[in-house]
Amino acid sequence: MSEGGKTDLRPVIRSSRRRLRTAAIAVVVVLAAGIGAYVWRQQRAGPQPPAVSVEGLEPVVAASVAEARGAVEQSPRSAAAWGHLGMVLFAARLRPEAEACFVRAEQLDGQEPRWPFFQGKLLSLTDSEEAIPKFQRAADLCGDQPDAPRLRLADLLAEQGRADEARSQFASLLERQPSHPVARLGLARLAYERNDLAASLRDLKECAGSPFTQKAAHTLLAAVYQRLRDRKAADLERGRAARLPDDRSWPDPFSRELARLRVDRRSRLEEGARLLGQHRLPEAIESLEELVRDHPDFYAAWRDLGYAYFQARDYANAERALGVALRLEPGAAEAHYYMGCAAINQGRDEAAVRSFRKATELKPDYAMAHYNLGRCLEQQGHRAAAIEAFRSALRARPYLALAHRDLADLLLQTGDKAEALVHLRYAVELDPADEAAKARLRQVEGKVAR
Amino acid sequence: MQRSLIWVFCALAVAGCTRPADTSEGEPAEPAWFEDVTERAGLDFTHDAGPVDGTYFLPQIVGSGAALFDYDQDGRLDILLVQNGGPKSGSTNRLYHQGRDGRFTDVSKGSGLDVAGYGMGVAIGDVNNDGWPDVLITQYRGVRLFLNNHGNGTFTEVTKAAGLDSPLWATSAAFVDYNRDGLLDLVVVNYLDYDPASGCADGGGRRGYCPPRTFYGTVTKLYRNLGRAAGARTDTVRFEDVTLASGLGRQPGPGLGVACADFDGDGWPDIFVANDDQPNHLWINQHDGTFREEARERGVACNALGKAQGNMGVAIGDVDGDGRFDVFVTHLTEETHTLWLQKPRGLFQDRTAAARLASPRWRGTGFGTVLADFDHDGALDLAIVNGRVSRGQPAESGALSAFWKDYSERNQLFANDGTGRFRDISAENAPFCGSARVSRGLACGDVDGDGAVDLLVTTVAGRARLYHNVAPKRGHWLLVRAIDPALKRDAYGATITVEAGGRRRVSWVNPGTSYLCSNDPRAHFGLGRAARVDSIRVQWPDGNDETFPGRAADQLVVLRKGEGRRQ
Repeated sequence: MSEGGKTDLRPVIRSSRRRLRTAAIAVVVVLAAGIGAYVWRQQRAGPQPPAVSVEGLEPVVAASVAEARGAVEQSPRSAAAWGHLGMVLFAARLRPEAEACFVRAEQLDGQEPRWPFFQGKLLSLTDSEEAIPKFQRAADLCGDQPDAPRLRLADLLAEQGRADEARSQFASLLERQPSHPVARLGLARLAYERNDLAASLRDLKECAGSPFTQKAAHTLLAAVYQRLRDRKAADLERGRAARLPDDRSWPDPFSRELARLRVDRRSRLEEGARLLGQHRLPEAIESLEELVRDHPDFYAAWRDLGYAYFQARDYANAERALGVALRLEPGAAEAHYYMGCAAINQGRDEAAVRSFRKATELKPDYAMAHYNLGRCLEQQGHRAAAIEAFRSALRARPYLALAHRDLADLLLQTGDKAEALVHLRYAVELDPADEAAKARLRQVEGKVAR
Repeated sequence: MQRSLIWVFCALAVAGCTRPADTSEGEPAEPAWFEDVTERAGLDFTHDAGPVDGTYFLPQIVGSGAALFDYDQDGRLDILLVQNGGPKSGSTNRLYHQGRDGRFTDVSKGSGLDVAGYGMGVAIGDVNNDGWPDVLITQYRGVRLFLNNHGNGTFTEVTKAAGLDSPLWATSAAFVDYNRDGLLDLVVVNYLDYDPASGCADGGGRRGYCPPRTFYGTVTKLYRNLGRAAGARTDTVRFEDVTLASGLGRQPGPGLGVACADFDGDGWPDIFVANDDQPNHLWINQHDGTFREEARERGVACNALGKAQGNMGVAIGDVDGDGRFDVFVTHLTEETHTLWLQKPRGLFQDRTAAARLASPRWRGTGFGTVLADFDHDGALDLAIVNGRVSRGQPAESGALSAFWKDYSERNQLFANDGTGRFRDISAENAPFCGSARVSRGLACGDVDGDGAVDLLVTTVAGRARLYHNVAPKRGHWLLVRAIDPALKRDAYGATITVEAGGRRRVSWVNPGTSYLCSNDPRAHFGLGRAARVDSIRVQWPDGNDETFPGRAADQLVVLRKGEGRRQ
């Protein structure tokens, strides 16, 4: 076995080393297999949707978040589910969480323009430079159908001072649609910025008739003419711009989809206000009635509903809704004011005076409440108090032509022709269409001259 | 097998890897320009923004301002800080007197300025020409005027007697002699026709502060100083509300910032009003007591893309060294702040991107802002203080409560390279920019008397902080106080032109800029290597020009009207 009686241990050592190595290899293989399995499972399952704190969210919003989140958990490899969750979170102003979802959605479906577009929208709130490639990607993907991504891209480039790149984006939109008013306006602005006034004028004339750009175009035309030292033309354009309604928003179907996901009560209130603004009274009333049914403790909805009924001359229902509003918010000056308006239209002057007084107590700068209080007091023969009310209205809103005219009338009754004349002149200047004020002014000026 | 092991360990190592930290921020490449001396200076003011009770009372988030002014004329700037806790809060405005050792002592008690309210801004001006600066405080619903009792540390309120009764929500204000009669008139910017019962919420239904578009804007008011009535005591003053007669009353807007200066180069002061989320107004003086609104024509209504932004604080100064002042206005985090260069005279162009201000290291909702030559290299630098108005990502912001952390942001500092282009040095300036706060007011002035511009910052629900200028390698400087002895006061509206080292630099005596603040009324010049000034020219507010002889740099110069050489 061994020389000199010594036992030869080498084979034993060799064998135990071999066993150790085998064991180590086995451990490593098992470990690697475990890690591999874990990684594979993780990759297969994909990342989990971001944790969302629903604290403070309306239950309806929290529910829509939970539903969208559930859809992602059900289909973790669905780009649409991730994207939808991103949109729901974006609509709920949970922006970082929304951004994470859009990033994942884009990873899963690199051909859908919405996901980089919404990332661009979010990034543009904090970092325009980072937003630019996102809009570029969205614009490339959707091939300008819709063209909102390219418009947004062009705007951002212009904002960053990258005028040449912005110009080429606008030009590309015009190639597709030569009459594109927003692109035309964009080019006009860039030309104005580099002081190429002829080019700016040319582009502005092309888009000055579009409901999407007319106000902005006439406003910029005023500035161009001012720079050309043509003050007359500048004044003319300024006047035109002032008379025009606000420009309509250029169609942006992606953003419209997002807007539809706003389900909180304030967004619904805004929808009611939008309908009211468009004088679509029956639809506004229906929408607001539905809102107060869902949220019977929502002061602003009752107030707007009261206002909508008042606009529809349904004074009984107006008072009903405003009554609820005031029970919910007794210190709400606006609800008191509309209550006064409803009362005055039903010939209940005393009630109207009480409501207007309350509104002015609660909000001393409430010009219209002071003015209507003045009207009521005047009708009741309280001339001095009415004069004071009109003066208060003008302290808060010096440009209120009606208050100047009615104050002038009362001052004439007290024999203060000099001050009455001042207010009549303001009344006519501020509202040249007020024929009654004009006639009264001519009359008083004639008397003063005599 | 060894390869396998290596592979596994590499995989593990890669899995454990994180993106290396961005070393561009946080590692100062050069020493900071400002040092926080709040504690050392004894400034212990904490702003009361009122209760955080879920009502989201809008005046709360607008914040309050401060004034740097020498109320006792001892040659050192004192500090007035405004409170916003409401009339019943017990939190009163605080007046601090600066002693010889540079420390501030609270002298509020019994000063007459120690009143509570929804205080917003401050304007400082000697309205009765008695040689002592008076104080106007703007507030949610009205203004309050306090006359300085000859520097004895007390002030007397004269609001009603002076005819300054207004129900509107006043923000920034400024004194300006718009009709050149030698009396300081008053511009009060008013904000919104706000109804506290109107609650607002974000898209998730969580309550928040209402955006400005929820309410109508109100008009900027102009009050003409009538002086004192015949036979009346010297410590009286009367104002006439000429808002409508002047034209300012014809166009409302949600005003936050103001700057009164000669925007069209005709020698008469005009009025620029920064409107929140609406086009700005530029009221051009017609020399007959009326003004014409020309912001659009002159290019300062909107940014280069024709978009109205959330305009808040205003700074004016000659950024590109062409002798004409330029205008800088702060905006929301989601927007870019805007720099309009004046070129040619009377016309302005948005040159934000060209000035390298469109892509800062971080963004913020800017309020107070100052253009001043902090390092005395002869070019105006830029400071901005930030703080959100809508909920954002909570920031690491030390002492702030959980509620206000959502609104906190870091300030910004930009160095002008001498050609009108700026370098963002915020990351190298941790004392001024490092901590996120809900900052609002930013007042500037030479507080410690070393000839450099120091900064005072107000915050919502936080400490006011004083920063001494410690910018390294500062060049030479000159501080000019321009006084009209006949009026016994600083010549608000004067233009000071300094010739030094072959260059001409222009500055303006104009304390009423930034946001809700009143600054040091002295004109400051960084002179670079020029150790001597060749001449100083003053264009006085009444249109007269005088030239004063040259002198050594690095001193405060007091120039009195009538002592120079008439042009």
